Amino acid sequence: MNCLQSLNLKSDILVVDGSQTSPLPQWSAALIWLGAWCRKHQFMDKRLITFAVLPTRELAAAFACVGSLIAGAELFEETFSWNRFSCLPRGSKVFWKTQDGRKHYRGNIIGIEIYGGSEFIVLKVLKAQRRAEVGSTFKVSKKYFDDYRFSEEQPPNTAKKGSFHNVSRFMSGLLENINSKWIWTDGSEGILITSMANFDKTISDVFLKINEQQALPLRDILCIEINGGPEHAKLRKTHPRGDLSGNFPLVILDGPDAFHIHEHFEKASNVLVILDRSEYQEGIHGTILQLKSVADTIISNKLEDIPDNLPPGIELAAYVINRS
Amino acid sequence: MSTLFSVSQMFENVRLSRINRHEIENKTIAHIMRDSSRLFSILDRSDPSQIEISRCLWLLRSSIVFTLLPFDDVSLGLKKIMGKLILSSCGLQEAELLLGSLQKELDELVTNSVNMKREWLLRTITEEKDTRVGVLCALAAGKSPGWPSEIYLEINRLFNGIKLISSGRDLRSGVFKRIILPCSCRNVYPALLLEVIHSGRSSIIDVLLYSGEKFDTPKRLVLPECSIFRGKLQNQIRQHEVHKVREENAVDAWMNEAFWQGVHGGHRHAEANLVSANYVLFYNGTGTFLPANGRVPILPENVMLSDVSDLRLVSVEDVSEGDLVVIRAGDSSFLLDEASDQIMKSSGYKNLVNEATDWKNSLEALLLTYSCEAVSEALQQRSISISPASISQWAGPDVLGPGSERVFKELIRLLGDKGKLQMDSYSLEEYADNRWISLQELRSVRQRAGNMIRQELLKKLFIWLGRETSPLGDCTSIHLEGDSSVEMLILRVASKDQNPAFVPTYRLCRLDDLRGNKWLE
Repeated sequence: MNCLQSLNLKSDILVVDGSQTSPLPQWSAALIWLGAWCRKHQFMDKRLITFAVLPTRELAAAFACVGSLIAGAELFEETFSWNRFSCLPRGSKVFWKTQDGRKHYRGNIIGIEIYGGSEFIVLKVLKAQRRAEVGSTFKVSKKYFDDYRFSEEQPPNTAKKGSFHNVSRFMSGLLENINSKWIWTDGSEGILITSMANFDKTISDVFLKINEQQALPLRDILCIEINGGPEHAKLRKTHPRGDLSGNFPLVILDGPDAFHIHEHFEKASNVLVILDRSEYQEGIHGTILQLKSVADTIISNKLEDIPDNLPPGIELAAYVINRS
Repeated sequence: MSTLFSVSQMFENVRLSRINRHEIENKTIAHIMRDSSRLFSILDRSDPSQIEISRCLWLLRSSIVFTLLPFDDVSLGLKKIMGKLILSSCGLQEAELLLGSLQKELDELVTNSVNMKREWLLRTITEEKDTRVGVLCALAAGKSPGWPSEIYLEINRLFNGIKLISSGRDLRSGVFKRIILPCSCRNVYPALLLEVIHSGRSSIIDVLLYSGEKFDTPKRLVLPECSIFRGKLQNQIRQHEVHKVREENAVDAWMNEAFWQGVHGGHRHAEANLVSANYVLFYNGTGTFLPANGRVPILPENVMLSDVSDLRLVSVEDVSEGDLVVIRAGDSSFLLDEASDQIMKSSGYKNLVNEATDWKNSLEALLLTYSCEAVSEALQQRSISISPASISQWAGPDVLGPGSERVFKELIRLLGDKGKLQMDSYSLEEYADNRWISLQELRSVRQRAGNMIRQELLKKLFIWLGRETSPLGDCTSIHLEGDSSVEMLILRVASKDQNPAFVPTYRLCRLDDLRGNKWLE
């Protein structure tokens, strides 16, 4: 079983480099698998911390992010329900639109009110296409909740929407029975902590495609936005000293700067640390030995879906530890 | 070449990687290596005049084995170095015989002039036409012996495809068909050599060695074995030699330490009032000590910053050659005082500076009649080991005072005993306690002030970099707007002393002008 086989993908991913289209190099397939593997294995009271040491870090985090998206799309269950929505605190900023997409609004949650024995969520409209609606209150009951699409993130603009549709198509080409709502649903599949300018520059000339579909820029496939911003995104990114607020199933620490600032792994998520060979030094080695000494070996040995033979140059170590 | 392609190439190189040792027979050079080792073994390196002989000897031997020029090339100057060696050995009778042999062997080498390493390079380059070949040329911490400026020009002129690698930045500029190491690399910056060998920048590493030169493949640290991936990873096993310190290498090992002593002269053992620091040498011929447990701002190589936090604060331990380090130039005490005043005012401190340092007047008074040596001896009798230089610094404005409570209190007791603080013993103890507390508070204020200034400067630097469009060189000076007295320097690291030295605090971050230092010739 090679790396992509262990992901059970429907189609092969191809790389477009200039005018040449070729199969995904083994190293990048391994990193896609690694990102998916780290995203997929979630435990109630434990977390998975994985280290990858590579000849170079260039593009590695980007492919791991692709893997995280694939696993996220596969695991997706529609969760933005009435129950979750009604639990949002008063004053929360929300976005909603009608199912046909013709009307969209922005507003704040005022609270819950009971009319005729039914619960209604009351919202104050702050932005609407019709000026007359601005300032009014909007009430929605559980019965009519599904007539609207609510989110905490700002829906993408028209240009972005096209790109999200493309990514959705890309994922549908890779996975069986992908839920079409995944791409439009709030919440990210991971956060990448990296030197952002360098990351953006490195991925700028990489394009991926499947079958006869149009090649998509890697930067679009990632659906990535800066953490803390209102934009809808499926991945978040920040610099090593940046904003880490939010819940993420996977934190990717790209390089020693990110590692040194977050080596105490305060956030309860799974962590993937990516380093190049020259960056792997005594201090980091010491931390890993400590993790190894407290790792849960029983669960570790039960982790599945590991390819039989990872390509040369990919060095990995992973430990399951208690959340603390 | 696209990023994806070059990354793929690096993984492929790691898979195929091999090190070719090309052992080149040359009797004359073997004799020079043998005789220079013998001469080195009889030298007393605690004697300053014999240190100079050792340096000349290393320079001669390294110029021969590092170079890719013909041995009679004037710019190589082998005869000149031999002349200096003979001159510095004048009067050292036991060396005469060996010097005579060395002189003879060198004459033979220069007369024959053919450098087999050069011949190998010429042949290889002709065969490898149109491919990218790297040659490591940062062969020692200072200037590489055997590599005068002429050689760089000649190599660039003769061989189009050659990239001279003098830093990690050069190495990371792409991937290579092969990388050539012109010698055994015993004086190469270890982190650079590790990267050359293990980063996959090339699948072939050619090491050119004369008889007597020994190359040991540097080992890199690897992840501990992990049961989850047992049997799933393809370990790339290189042939590693067992590292042995051989007699032939004693001169190189000595040189690594002697070079740094010649450049910065820091102590290698901890002493009271000395702090641990690493010396960093910059490409512009300056150098400085950076606190070993400190952090310094480093700019990314492409100087692309999207946020002020892209100015990485890197621990001094991780600073390596090629890094662009940001350093405050000139005297920062004025700004520090200003910021300290601000903090003291807001924290409600009144007269903290006076309270913490008024004992300095008494020390100054004592030093009118006693020398620093005598004060140091008097403290020695109280079981306090302090150098006379430290006493002099405590009296001055640059150093706040002793860093240890025990030392400080003994100093105050001594000042009392010598009649410079007129109070009874109970009051003297109380005075010492209070002054120590004030001194520590002042230190904390100064530290906060230092952080405040650093944050401010980094913000201004970020704004400046955002406007700057021209690429940064090895040394860029910036006068920050709105504060014309503040000059920041962006300096490229040429080399770093891996071993910490112990120095007084005033030497930290103070730029030394090393132009003219003979170890950097």
